[in-house]
Amino acid sequence: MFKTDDRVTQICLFLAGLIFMFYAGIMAFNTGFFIDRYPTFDNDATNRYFIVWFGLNNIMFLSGIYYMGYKGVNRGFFVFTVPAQVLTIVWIVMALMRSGGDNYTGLILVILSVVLLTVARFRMNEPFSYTKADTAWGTNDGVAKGALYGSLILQTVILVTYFFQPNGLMENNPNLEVTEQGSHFALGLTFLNVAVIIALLFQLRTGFNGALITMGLVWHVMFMSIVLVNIATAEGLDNGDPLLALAITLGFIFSATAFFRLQKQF
Amino acid sequence: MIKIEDNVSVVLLSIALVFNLMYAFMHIFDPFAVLFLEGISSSFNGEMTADLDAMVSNVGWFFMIFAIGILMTLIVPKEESAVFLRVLVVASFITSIRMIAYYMEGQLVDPAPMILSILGFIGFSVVLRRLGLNKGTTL
Repeated sequence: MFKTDDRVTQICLFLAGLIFMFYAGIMAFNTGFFIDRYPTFDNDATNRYFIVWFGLNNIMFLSGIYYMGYKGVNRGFFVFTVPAQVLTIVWIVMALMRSGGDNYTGLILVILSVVLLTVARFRMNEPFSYTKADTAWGTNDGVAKGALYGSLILQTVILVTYFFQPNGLMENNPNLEVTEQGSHFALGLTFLNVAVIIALLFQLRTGFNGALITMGLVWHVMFMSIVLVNIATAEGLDNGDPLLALAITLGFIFSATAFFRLQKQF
Repeated sequence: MIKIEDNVSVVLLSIALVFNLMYAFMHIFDPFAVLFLEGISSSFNGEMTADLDAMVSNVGWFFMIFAIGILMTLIVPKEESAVFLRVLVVASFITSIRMIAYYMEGQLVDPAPMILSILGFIGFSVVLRRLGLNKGTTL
């Protein structure tokens, strides 16, 4: 498994995957139970909305572990997940400082996942210097390049937009309210946004990466499905956040284009 | 990464994957499930009891399992997916018949699930045929 005989790497990645799976399951599909673990959490629509979102993000991380299980350990995966998880630690510490510290399980498990991922990365025996590819994104396929540039621009626009409208995700959605906890969730998603931009810049320099493109597609397929569910159940397009739906749809198109144009080379 | 070489089949399976996920989320998450049942059913009274919730969630998880199966179908050689694709054709055929009957009885207010199940049956049949996996075809 992971195309390596190193037991330490295998165990580290298996345990990291287990943590991702645990949080994916509990946050996305048993949201009420998750909220009950945190006495200061309000069980409102805004918190449930963001907790499910964070759970689905963990499915994306898990898909990267599965990808490496079949295809072998991949440097790109760590370039994305390690910063993402380190930023998550910062985000959890900030949350605990606000709440006075009601549950440290998440903090401990995310720190553990960073340790496991870092050990696996060091055991790879691959350099930490990233050689520049011959061409941008490492491909001459103009359509795939366009899709990847599109993704980078889209993620940058989302990041910049956060600084102008930090509570935009709640303000633009008629079903949500702007709350202090909701604002903190929005900050957490911005941290993930930063990790995504790091991953895209890594690919711009060193060439496209199968694990990262696949993880991006997994995320976008899940969220595109949810956009379709919202359209189907809301009986129209005006009962949600049209800007978010547009961003997800554009991201899905870019991600799927890059994946299907490049997948033969993974 | 994708082992199936027929582009039409890849497109059809990818669409099926997204729609299976969509139906999975629609049934698994409570608020969506209530709105969905209110939208399609003439007999649903808007009250999601614990039993109904569990059963509807189970349906959602079956859609999720099928979505994972379709994903696996895309990334393995077609011969390994022959039985699964045949099951999909049979399952979508039975679902189509049931949905047509529900619609004709008037229990199903919205025809969308019926149309999608028929399209699913046609789509999976086309994939099975295009990949040369239908019974009697020499691989």
